[in-house]
Amino acid sequence: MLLTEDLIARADAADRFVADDGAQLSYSALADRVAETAETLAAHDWAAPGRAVALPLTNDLAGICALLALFQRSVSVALLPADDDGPTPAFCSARLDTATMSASDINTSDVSPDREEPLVYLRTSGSTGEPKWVVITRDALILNADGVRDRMRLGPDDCVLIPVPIYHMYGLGAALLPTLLGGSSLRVASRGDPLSILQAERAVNPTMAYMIPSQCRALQPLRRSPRHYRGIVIATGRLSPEFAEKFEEMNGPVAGLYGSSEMGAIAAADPSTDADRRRREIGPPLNNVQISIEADETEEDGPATGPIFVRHGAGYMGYADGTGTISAPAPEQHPTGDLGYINELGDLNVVGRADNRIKRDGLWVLLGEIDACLADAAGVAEVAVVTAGQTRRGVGVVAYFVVERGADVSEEDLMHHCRDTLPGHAVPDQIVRIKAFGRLASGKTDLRALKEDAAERIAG
Amino acid sequence: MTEPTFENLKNLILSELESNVDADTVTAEVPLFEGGLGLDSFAVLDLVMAIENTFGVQFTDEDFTVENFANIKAIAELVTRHQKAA
Repeated sequence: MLLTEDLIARADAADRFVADDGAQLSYSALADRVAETAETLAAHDWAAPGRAVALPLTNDLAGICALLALFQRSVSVALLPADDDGPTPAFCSARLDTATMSASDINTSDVSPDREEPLVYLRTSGSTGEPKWVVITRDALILNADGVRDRMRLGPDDCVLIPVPIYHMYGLGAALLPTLLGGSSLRVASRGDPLSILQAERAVNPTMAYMIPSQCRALQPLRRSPRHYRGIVIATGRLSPEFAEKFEEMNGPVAGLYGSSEMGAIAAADPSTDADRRRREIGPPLNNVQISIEADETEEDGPATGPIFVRHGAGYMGYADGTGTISAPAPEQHPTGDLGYINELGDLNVVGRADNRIKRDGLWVLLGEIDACLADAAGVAEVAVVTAGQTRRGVGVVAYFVVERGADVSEEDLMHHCRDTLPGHAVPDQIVRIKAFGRLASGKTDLRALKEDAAERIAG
Repeated sequence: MTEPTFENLKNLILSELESNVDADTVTAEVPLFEGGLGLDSFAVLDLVMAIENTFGVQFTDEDFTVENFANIKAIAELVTRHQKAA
C-alpha cells in the first residue's frame, strides 16, 4: 500500500516528525509505533481484516497511529468525531478508544457486509434524517490524497499544520494523508481557534497549513506581524478577494481547494500560481478527475455556468445505510449539487449551491432550519431568512420577522432565542423586525427586496 | 487605567461576547474554552479585542498562547504585565 510503503521508506528520515499538542515522534518512531499498534490489533478478532471498526478520531498522535495501524491491517474504519456519543454503527465489530487502545461495543458476530477490500466510512454531515455513510475504499482515498500531495507539491522540506478535524474528508484526505505521503513534517492541532494555531506555529514553524475561511477571518486580527507560509490551503468556502489580499499580505499565498466527502479533493490551486488567478477561481481539477458543467445553453456572457458533475478515478463507491450495506451505488458522474464554471485556463470556480444550503464556519446550514427556529418563537407571526454577502463566519445571513398583533418581541429577544436553540454557525448575523413583508403579485414574500436590504446591512 | 480585576474581566466576558454565558459559572479559574465556558474561535477574537480596548494594552504575537488566555486569572496576569511595562 502506498502509504505504508512510504512510511517505511522514510523510516530513516529522523529529522522529520509528526507532532500533536503535546508530543512529537520522528517518522521512524511513528512507523515503529504504527507497527506495534498493528501487532496489538492482530490479537483481536474484532480487528480482523475485512471487519469494520468505529474510530472516534482525534487530532493527535494516538488517533493517527490507530488509523494507520487499521489501514495497515486492512481493517475498514467508520470515522466519527472525537466527542461522538451516539451508538456504535451496527456494521462495526467494535469501537476503538485511541487514547487507551481499548475496544468497546465488541460484536464479532457476522455484522460486516462483504468487504473485498478495506473501506473507509465517512458520516455525511449537516443533513437531517437517517444516518448516511459515504463509502470509499482505503486505496482510493490514498490515491486521491496523492493527487493533493502532487498539487500542493508537499515534500520533505515542508512542515504542515493541520488545525482542521482529521475525521472529515478535508482533514483526512486533503491534509493528513497527503502530508504523510509527501514525507513532510506534520503538526496536528486538537483545536482550531487562533490561539492554538499561533501557538502551534511557534512550536514547529510550518510551511503549509490547512484551514477553513472562518479560521482565516479569526486569525487575521491576531496576526500582529507578517508570517508567511508557502501556502495556506482553504476549503469549504472562499475568501472574498478584498480579504484574501489583506490575509495574504500577512500570511502568504492562499490555495483554494474544492472537494466533497464523496469525491475527495476535486480541484485545487497550486500555491505558487499568481495571486490574481488564485483569488479569482479555485483551480484546475486534480489529476485523474474530470469535471463537466451541465450549462444552460441559453446563457451567453462569460463562461458557461451550471451544475457541476465529477468523474473521479478515486471517488466513492456509494452511500451506505445504517447496516453498512451500500444502498445507493455511486453514479458514473457524481452530481455535486454545486453550481460552477470552468474558465479559459481550465480553472474551476464554484458560485453556489443548487439548493438552499450554505456554509458557515465550514459547516452546512439549511436556511429552513433558521426559519423554523425563528418561527417557533412566541409572538412571531412570519419569518423570512435570506443570504447576503460575506461575514466572518461565511455567507451572511439576515433574518426578518413580523410580530403577531399585540405581541412584543424584540430583535434582541429573537437573537437570544437563536443562540439558545441553534448551533453558533447557524445563528443569523442580523435579525430585523419589520412591520410587514412586501408581496409579489403571486402573494409570495418579495425576497428580492429583502436580499437587497440584507446586502446593505451586511456591507454596512 | 482600568485594572484587570476579576470583576472587570468577568463583566467584560458577560457583556462583550456573542455567547450566552451563565454568570454563575464564571470563576477566576474556570477554563474559557473547551471543558469550561466553551467559547469558540470568534469569541477568542472578540475577547482579545475587548481586553485591548478596555485595559489599554496592545498584545504581541508572543502573547497569543492558549495558556495566557486559559482563564480569567491568566488573562489578569497578562494584562497586568503589559500595564506595568507601559
